[in-house]
Amino acid sequence: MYPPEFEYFAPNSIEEAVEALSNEDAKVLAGGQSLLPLLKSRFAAFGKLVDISRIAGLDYVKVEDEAIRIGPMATIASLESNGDVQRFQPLISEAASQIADPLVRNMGTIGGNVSHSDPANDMPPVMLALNAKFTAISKSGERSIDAEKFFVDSFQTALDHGEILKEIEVPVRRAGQGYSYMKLKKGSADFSVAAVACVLDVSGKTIKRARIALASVSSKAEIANDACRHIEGKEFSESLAEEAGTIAAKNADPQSDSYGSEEYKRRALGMLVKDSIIKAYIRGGGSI
Amino acid sequence: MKKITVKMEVNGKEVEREIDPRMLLATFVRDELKLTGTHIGCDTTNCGACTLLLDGKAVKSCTVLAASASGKKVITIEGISKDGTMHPIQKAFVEKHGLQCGFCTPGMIMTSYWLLGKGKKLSREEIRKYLSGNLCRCTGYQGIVDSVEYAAELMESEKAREKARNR
Ligand SMILES: Cc1cc2nc3c(=O)[nH]c(=O)nc-3n(C[C@H](O)[C@H](O)[C@H](O)COP(=O)(O)OP(=O)(O)OC[C@H]3O[C@@H](n4cnc5c(N)ncnc54)[C@H](O)[C@@H]3O)c2cc1C
Ligand code: FES
Ligand code: FES
Repeated sequence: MYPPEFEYFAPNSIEEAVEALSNEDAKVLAGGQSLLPLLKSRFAAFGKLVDISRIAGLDYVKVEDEAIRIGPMATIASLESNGDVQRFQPLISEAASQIADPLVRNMGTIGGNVSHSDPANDMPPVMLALNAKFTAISKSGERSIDAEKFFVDSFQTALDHGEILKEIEVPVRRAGQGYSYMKLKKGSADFSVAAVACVLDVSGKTIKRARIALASVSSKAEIANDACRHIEGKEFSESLAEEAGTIAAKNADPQSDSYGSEEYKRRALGMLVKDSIIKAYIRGGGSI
Repeated sequence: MKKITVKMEVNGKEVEREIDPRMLLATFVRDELKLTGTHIGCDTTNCGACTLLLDGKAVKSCTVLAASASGKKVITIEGISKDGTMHPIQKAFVEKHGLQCGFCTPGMIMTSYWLLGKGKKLSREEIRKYLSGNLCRCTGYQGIVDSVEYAAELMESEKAREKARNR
């Protein structure tokens, strides 16, 4: 299959790329694992593709003091296997290893995954749970966007036309911080029925702070605020985790489709939230 | 639409073509280079029949622009045998019944080629995980996993033999 016609431009610098994107009908092409299928099936068409894969040095992972900085072109596969990511923010590698299949992960990038902002993409909830900061660059300069402001709606982010996501910054895992990424999916090429990113700060038996973010069960990735509030400051128990699951499932807004009915998705979500809280709690050093 | 020039190394040979920028890499190797071993099954990034190596990594070539591959190294199924001798992975697929109709096989073998090139020892479970982007509608996968396991052994003993020869 051929995508609709476009002009192809592969700049060598980010300056050239943002310049090219001032064209109304231009679109960034990264790993192409979301964009090319859309173009091939003619759900979208653009006059110009700006392939940013030839810009050197956009695929880094740097650990500095308290933060990890990730270049947008770091592939999902590289984040799965990168030793620094595994060590300093293992939630990212745990989620990466569950995205699509190894071949798609070899091409797909973290920048593309968050910028695409499919409600079923796995990196958006991870970024929310970690309070990531995004740096966007355009002709008029750079700005920083918090994860909570970044994911606006289905396939819609806070990036303006002409902006390129230039860097992602996440804090390194703190002592006593437990994490878990869990998702339910059917086939390897399928998107999830529901997915949960969970980060807990644990002290003794108490959950001091909770960040639980969800994918696939709403029009965009979002924090399960009520579920987080329900467990924060409390002593862990399995029933507490289950209650949080019930709350998240009640608040979610899943749609019935070929992956399952609305009711099935709510139940799956409730279980995933419960299980991910338990896992994160144990990884945070909590005892059962 | 304006044509563009792409240049890349395919199976060790430099190639250069003028193409429509929207041509996908799978179509490029099949139609432009007549390397029809790379199959197009789904054409929607699901089946992995179109798998080849791009700069050493296995990717689905129906979902990569030929333009994006310009300047890079490509290895297709035609590039892994040497002087008419099958690669150990190919031999293993024959011996362990890793194929029936054979449509998925080039993709299965290219993913395995990438995977076994890492030189890690793999469990059956890991092999299955790595092959999760390659679909087969005939074999039920058992024979494919057997083949990859056996291929790893063949490659291991080939390496040992080579070492002994060089000593
Ligand atoms: C079979 C299959 C299964 C999949 N399963 C999953 C899954 O389970 N979970 C999951 O999360 N994803 C899944 N995906 C999607 C895929 O993992 C991601 O969408 C992919 O990683 C996106 O990255 P990319 O580099 O390929 O982006 P592209 O396809 O190149 O781009 C995607 C979008 O992001 C924009 N974009 C890309 N980079 C930037 C940037 N730096 N700045 C601004 N805009 C940018 C593009 O303009 C485009 O709109 C699957 C894909 C396939 C084909
Ligand atoms: S033809 Fe490329 S994945 Fe099926
Ligand atoms: S052997 Fe027929 S599809 Fe795999």
